[in-house]
Amino acid sequence: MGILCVCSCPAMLWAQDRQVTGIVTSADDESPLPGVNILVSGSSVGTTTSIDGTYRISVPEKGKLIFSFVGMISQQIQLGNANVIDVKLESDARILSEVVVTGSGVATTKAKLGIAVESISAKNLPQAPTASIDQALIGKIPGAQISSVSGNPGDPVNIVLRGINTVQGGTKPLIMVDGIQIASTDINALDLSNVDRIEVVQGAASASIYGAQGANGVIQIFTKKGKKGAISVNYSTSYSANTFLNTGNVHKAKLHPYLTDANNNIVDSKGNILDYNEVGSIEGISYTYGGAARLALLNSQNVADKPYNANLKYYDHFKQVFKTGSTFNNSLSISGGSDKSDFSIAAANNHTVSPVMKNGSVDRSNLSANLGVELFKGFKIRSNTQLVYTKNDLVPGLGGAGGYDYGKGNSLGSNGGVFSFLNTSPFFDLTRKMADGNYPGYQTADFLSINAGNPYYRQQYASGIDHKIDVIQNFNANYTVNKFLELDAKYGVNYRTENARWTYKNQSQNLNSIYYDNFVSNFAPDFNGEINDWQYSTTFQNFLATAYIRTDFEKDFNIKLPIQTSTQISFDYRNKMYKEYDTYGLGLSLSPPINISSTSTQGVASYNSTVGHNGDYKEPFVTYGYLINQKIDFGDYGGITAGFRSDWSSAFGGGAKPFTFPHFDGHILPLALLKNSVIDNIIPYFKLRAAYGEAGIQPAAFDRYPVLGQQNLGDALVYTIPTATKNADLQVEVSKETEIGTDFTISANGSSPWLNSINGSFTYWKRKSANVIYTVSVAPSNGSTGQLTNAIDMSSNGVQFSLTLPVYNSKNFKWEFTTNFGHQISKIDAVAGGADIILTSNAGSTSLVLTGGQQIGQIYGYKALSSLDFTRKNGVRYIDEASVGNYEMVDGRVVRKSDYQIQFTDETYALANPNPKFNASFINSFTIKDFLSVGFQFDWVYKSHLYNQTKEWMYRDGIHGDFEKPVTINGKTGAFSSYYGSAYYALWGSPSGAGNNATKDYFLEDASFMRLRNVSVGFDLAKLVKIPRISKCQLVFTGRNILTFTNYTGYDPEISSGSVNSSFDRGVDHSTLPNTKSYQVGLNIGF
Amino acid sequence: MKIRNKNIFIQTVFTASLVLANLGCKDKLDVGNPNAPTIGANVNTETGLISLAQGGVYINGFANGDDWLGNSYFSLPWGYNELLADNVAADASNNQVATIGVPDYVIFDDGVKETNKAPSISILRTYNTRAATGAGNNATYYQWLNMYAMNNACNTVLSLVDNIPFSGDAASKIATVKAWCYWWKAYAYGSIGSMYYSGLILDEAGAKNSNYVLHDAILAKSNEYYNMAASTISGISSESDYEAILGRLIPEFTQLGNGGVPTKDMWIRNINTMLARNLLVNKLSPFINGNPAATITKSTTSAMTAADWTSVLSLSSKGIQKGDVVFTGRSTSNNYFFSATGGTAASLTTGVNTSSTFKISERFVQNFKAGDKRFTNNFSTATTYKNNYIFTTRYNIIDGGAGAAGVYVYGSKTVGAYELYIAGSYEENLLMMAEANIRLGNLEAGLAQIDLARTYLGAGLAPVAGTGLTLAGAMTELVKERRVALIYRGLSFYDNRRWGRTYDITNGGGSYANTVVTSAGVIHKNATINYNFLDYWDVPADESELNPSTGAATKNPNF
Repeated sequence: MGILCVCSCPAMLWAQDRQVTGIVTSADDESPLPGVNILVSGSSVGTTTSIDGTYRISVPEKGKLIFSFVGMISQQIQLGNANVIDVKLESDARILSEVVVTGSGVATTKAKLGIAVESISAKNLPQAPTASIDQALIGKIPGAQISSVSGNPGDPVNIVLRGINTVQGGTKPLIMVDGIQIASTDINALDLSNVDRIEVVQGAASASIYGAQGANGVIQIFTKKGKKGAISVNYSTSYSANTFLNTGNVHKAKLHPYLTDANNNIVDSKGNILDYNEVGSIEGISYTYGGAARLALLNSQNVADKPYNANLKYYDHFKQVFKTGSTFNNSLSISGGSDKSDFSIAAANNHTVSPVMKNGSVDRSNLSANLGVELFKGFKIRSNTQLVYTKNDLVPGLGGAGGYDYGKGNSLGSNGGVFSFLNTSPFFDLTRKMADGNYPGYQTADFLSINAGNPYYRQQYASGIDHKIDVIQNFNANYTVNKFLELDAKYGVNYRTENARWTYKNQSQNLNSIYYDNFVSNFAPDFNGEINDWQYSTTFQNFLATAYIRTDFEKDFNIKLPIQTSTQISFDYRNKMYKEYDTYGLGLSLSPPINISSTSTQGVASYNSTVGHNGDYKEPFVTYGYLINQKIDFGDYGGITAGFRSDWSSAFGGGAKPFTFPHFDGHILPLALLKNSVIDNIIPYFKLRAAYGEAGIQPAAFDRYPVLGQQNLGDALVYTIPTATKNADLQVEVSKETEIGTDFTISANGSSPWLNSINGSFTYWKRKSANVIYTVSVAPSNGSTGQLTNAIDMSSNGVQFSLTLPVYNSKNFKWEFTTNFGHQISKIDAVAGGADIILTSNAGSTSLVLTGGQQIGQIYGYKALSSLDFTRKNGVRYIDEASVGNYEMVDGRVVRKSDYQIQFTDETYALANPNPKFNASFINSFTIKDFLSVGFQFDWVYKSHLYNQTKEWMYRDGIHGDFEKPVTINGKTGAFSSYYGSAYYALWGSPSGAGNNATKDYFLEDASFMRLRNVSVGFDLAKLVKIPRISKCQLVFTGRNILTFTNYTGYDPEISSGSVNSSFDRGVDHSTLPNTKSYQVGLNIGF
Repeated sequence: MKIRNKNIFIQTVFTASLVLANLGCKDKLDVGNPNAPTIGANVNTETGLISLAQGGVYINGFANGDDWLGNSYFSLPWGYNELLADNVAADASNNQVATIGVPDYVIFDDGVKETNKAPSISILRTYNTRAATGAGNNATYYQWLNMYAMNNACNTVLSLVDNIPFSGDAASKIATVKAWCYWWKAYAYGSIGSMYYSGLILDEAGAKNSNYVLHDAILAKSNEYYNMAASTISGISSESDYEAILGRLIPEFTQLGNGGVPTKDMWIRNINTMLARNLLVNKLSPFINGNPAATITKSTTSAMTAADWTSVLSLSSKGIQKGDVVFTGRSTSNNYFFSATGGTAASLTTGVNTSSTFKISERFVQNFKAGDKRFTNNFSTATTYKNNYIFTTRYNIIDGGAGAAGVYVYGSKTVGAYELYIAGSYEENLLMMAEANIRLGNLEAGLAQIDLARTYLGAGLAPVAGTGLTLAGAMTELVKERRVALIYRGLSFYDNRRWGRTYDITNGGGSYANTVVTSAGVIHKNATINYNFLDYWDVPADESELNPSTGAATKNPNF
C-alpha cells in the first residue's frame, strides 16, 4: 500500500526530491549486508539493500534514514548534503534481538520466548585443537555441565544439561542439525568450522516439543549457509602440540625401602646384587625389614629413604609412555549467494596423533555442502550434506576404536592397556627389550609388580585400524503459501558405517610370554594371536512436516488488539536401525600373510553379558508423534504458549499406546508499558518468563520384550534364561519440569564506553522424573537376579545464569566479558520395592547404590577415624578412653603409634557426591583496533569429587609417589611404608585383608578446579597491511588447558572413568587418560 | 494462477503424507527383538528344548555369574572350596580370595603363634551384604546364584517337556530329558545343601518361596531327585532314543576321555556315587592329629554312624566303575562354558606361582608320599612365591605336567586338555568305598581300594594293603590320598570339614603336623593350624534380604 502511495503522488510529499546511494556493511568483518531495511523516518518510504549491500533511495531534504537488520543495532542517519551514505551496522550484543528456533519450533526472537534457550554463535566458539563441537562448547552454556572426561583422541565429552533425570540411558541430550535429529553420527565427528551457531534447551520445560526424546535437553547445531553477496573463501590451518596434563604431579616413589648392600645395590636376603633375568624380571627382592613378602610393606621399620642409584635405576614410566602428540587442522570453505539461491561448501581435515607413545592417530575429514534455492516465490528448498570420513589406527588397549557396541557411538576408545604400567615397579625400564629383541609384557619382582603390564609389549604385538564413514543428508522444503500459512517439510537421513580391525600377533616366541603365560588378546585364550573384525552400521531417518498458521489481529482482521497468533502442527517420524557384526579368527601364523584366512579357527563374537548381545546384532527403533503448539503474543507486552505432543514408540509398553506430553509457558515484559520513559532507556529490556513442560526418555531397545538368551556352546546353539528379565509393561520415563526466569538488558551507562549495556539471563528450574527405568534386584532363587521395571523416582533442581557485559567499548578498544554459572542437585526420591539398587563402579571395592533420599552418584566407603573419640554408628567409641594414648592424630587422621597405621572404620558411609556444587566460566575477549584480538576463558568447577582409584592401586605395592613423603608419627619422622600402606590394606582391627582396596575416604578427593580452558591471541595482518583480494589474514596462537588450579592429586580433576554420560558412575579416576595441554598456532585467511 | 495450482498440489501432498505416515506406522512399532529367541517361538520343538536344557545347565548353571575371578562355577565357587581346604592360596584382593582361606592362627615349630586379624568368619559375614556382592566381595553369593539358576532352568524345561512334539519313541525321549533335569536339580540341591546352612526348595518354574529349610532337608531333596532320575532312567524303553537325546544334551566336545554318553546303567551308577557323596560329605567323621576317634563339640551337623558308613559302602559299591562314562567338562578355544586359562581352580593355579592367581599350597603338597609320580610329574620348585605366613610356597604346577605316561595331570592351560570332573569319578567312588571299609573295620579292603586309586592315577607307589596299618594309619593313607586325588572337584573343603580340621581347636578341631614356609624361607614341618571356618555358610544377603525367611534361619547360629 505504501509503495502504491509513493508512486501515485510523489510530488505531494517531497518538493525537492533527491537520490541517496551507499553501501551497508557489517562492522564486524566489513562484508556487505544484503537485505538491510532502509526507511525514511516518519514515512513508509523504504527500500532494501541488494546482494552487494548497495542501495538507492529517494529522500527528502531533511529528516532521517533508519537502517535496520535482524541481529544488528539499528542506526539513524541524519540527512545532510551528502548523496552517498555508507553505513556500518554493529551486531547487537543484546540477547533480545537473537532469533532462536530450538524449543519453540518457530524462529522467534528471544524477547518473545517464555522458555530459556541458550545460543552461541560460531565466533564465540574456541578453535579447540580437537576441532570438535563438544569440546568447544565447554563452559559456553550457562547451567550445562560439559566436561572433557578423557584425553584420548576422538573420545566424547560428558554432558549433563539440567540435572540427572534418568539412570540407564545416561545424560546424553538429543542432538539436532538444522532442524533434524542426528542419531547415527557423534557430535564430535561434525566439522566445527562449519558451525554457524548452536542452540541449547536444557530441560523438559523447554524441550517438551521434542516429546519422548526431549527430557535430557536438546543441542541443535546450525551449519553455515552462503550469504548473498560476493563469493567468500576462507582457509584455516593450525598445528597443535598436545601433552597429557599431570596437575597432581603423579609419579612413582623415587625412594625405596628395599634391602640394599653397603653400596646401595638392591640385594636379595643372601646379599646377591639383583639384576634382570632372561625374561626381564627380577628375582630375590626383599624389604629391608620383614623380608621378601608383600605385607612386609606394613612392617613399621620400613622407611622409603634410599635412592635408586646403584644396580637398579629409577624410570619415570609416565615419561616413557606419555609423549607429545600433535594435531593438524585444515579447513577451506567457499560460500556465496544470489537473490534466489545460496551455497556454502566446506572441507576440513583434523589429524591427531595420540600422546600415548604416539601409537596411532585419528584422522577425520569433513566435506559439507549447503545449498538453498527459492524455486518460485515463497517456495524454498534446501539441501544440506555432510560427509565425514574418520580413520583411526590407535592400538586396541592404547585408545583404539572397536569392541562390542562401539558403533553406537559416544564410546571411549579402549585404553585399558595404557595404565597397565601403573603396578610396574619403578626399577623396571619399560623400554628395555629382552635379549631376543622383544619387549617383556610382564615385568615382575616376586611379590612386587604382580599386576605389572607393559604398554610397549602391547604396541609391539597389537594393532588396530578403524574406518568410519558418516553421511548426514537433510532436505528441507518450505512454502510460505500466504501470510497465514507456511508449510515446511524436512527429511534427513543419517548413515554411519564403521569397520574396525584388531590384530594381535602371535606372541608364542616371546620368552616372557612363554614363561608367565602372559599375553595380550581379546577373544583368544592363548598367545597365538587373533584378528577381530568389528562392523557397525546405523541408519537413521527423521521426517518432520510442519504447518504454521499465523495471524495478526491488527493487520489481518483490523481488530484493534495487539495480538499475534502462531499455531504449529507437526508430524515427526524417526526410524533407526543399528547393526553390528563382530567376527574373529584365532591362532595366527608367525609369518605373513596376517589375515583372517591364515587363522586356525573363525567365529562370530559370542554373547557378552555387559552389552547383552552377541556379535550378530540388530536394533530397530521406530517412533513418531505429532505436536500441536499454540502461541499468542500480546504485542511487545508478553505472550503465552500452550501445546502438547503425543508420541508412539516401538520401545513403549504395548507399543500402540501413545504418551502425551503437555507444556505451557508465558512471558511478560512489564516495562513495555513505560515505552520511551527514562526507565525504558536504562532498562530497555526486561522480561519475566515461566514455563512448565513434560518430556520423556524412551526405554532402551527391546526392554519390553521378554526373551531367552542365545549363544554357542562348542558347536551347538543353546538357549539360556536371562539373568535380568525384560518387562512388557514398561512406561516411558517422564520428566516434569517447571522453570522461571528473567532476561534483561541494562543500559545505565548510556553513552559511556564503560559497561554501556549489560545483558543477563537467570533461570531457576525444578524437575521431577517418574517411572525411571532400571533393573531392580530380585532374589536369585528365582533363576534371575534382576527385573527391569519403572523403578525410580528422581528429582532435581538448579539455577543458571549468564551475564554478558561489554566492559569497555570504543572504536579502538573493546573488552567483552561473559560469565556463565550453573548449580544443580539431583537425587533419588524413591526406589520401587524399597531395596537399594546396587551398581558397580571402580571406586575401591564398595559398590555404588541407588537409594531413596540420596544424591545420585554418591560414593560409599570407609572413613579414616577423624578424632580419637570417633564413634560407630551405634555410638560406641572405636578407641576406648584407656587406649587413647596409643594413638595420635596425623594429617587429620587417627594413626596407631605402634605400627604407624591409619585407623579406618569398619562401617561404610555415604562419602561424597561426585557432581559439583556449581560450575562457572568466565570469558573475556579484547579487541584492539581491528587487528589484534585476545581472549581467554576460565572454567571453575566447585566441589566436585573424584575417587582416586589410580592412586589406590599404586598404593598396593607401595610405589606411589606419596610413599617417599616423610610424616611425623610418635615423634619420629620418615616416609613410613606402613603409614601409607595401611591406607590400602587396613580396616579397623585388621592390618590387611578386609581392607585391601576397600573404598576409603583417604582416596576420595575434592576435585574442584579452576582451569584456563582457552587463551588465544590473534593478529589480523590484512587489517594492518592492505593485501589485494585478501580480507582476512589472521595469525592465532591458542593455548588450551594450560593452567589448572586444583588440590586434586591425580592427573586431571576433570576426567571420569565411568561410561560416557553415565548417570551414576561419574566420580572415579581409574586409569583414565587425562586431558591434554595444547599449544596451537593457526592461520586464518579470508578472500 | 500457475502458482495457485502448485500451492494446492503441495498442500495436498503435504496433508496426504501426514495422514499416510500416521496410518502406516502403528503396525511397524512392534519391532520385537530380532536377536533373541523366546520360549513361545523357539522352545516348541525337540531341538529348541534341548538347546534350553543344555544352556540352562552349562551356561546358567556353570558359566554365568562368576566373571570376577576366572570365568565359571569351577573357578570361583570351587576355588573357594580349595581355598578353604588350604589346597591353594591367593594374594589378589578380588572376591576375598586372599582372606577367606586364612586360618585364625598358626603355631610354628618354634612355638611362635601368628594370629590372623581378619578371621575368615568375620570376613565372610562382613561382606555378606548386597552392596558387597555388587563389588564382587560376597563369597557366599556365587554358588547359590549358579545352583539356583540351574535349578530354575531345569524347572522351566520340565514345565515345557510334556508339550513338545518328539519324533521316534517320544516317551523315551521325554523321560531322558526329565532324567537330565532331575539329575541336575539333584546336583544343584546337593551343592546348596552341602554348602549353606539353609536353602529353598523350588520345584516349579517361576514360583517363589520364602520357606527356608535346613541343609539336611535340602540334601534330602537332592537324594529324592537323584532317585527320581534313577527310576526314570530305568523306565526308559528305547536305548537308542535315550542315547540320541542324551548325546545332544551333553556337549559334544566333552564326549572324550572319561566323558561321553553314559549308558543307562552307567548313569545310574553315577547317581549312586552322588548319593554316597551327599551322605559322606555332610556328616562328621573327625580324624584330628592322628586320632580317628576325635569328636567335634560344636557343629552344624552330626557324626557318621555305622549305619551311615554301611549306606556309603552300599551306595558306592553300586557306584561308578572303572571305565564308566562320567560327567566331565572341557574348555574350548571359544564358545566355552569355562576357558582354558581361567575357567577352573586348576588352571588358575597352573603356571609360574609368582604370576598365577592361585598358588598351590604347602599343605597340599605335604600329602604326597615320597616317590609319588604324580608329584614329580606335576610340581616344580622353579620359583618360590614368598608372601605372608600361609601363602608362601615353593611349588608350581607344571602346565600340562612333565610328560610321564599314565600319570595324572593336575593342571593345563592348553585348550581342551584339562578334564574337569563335574560330578563323581571312579577314584572318588573308590576312596568312598575305602573310607567306609576302613571305618567299618575292613581295613585291608579299604587299603586295597586306596592302592587301586593310586594305581589308577599313575602314582607308582608301593601298595599299603598288607602292610599292617592300624586304623589311624589307614585313615592317614586315606586322608592323604583323598587330599591329593580329589583336588579341584568341589570336595576338598567338605573333606576337611568332616574330618574336623576346619573347626576351632577349642571345639576339638584343628590341623596338626603341617608344613608352613615363612617368607624368610624357614620351613616348619610341624605347625599347628587353627582354621576355624564357618562349617555351613549363611544364605547370601541377596536372597535373605530380598526374600526374607518365613522358615528356618538363614544365618548359621552355631558360629
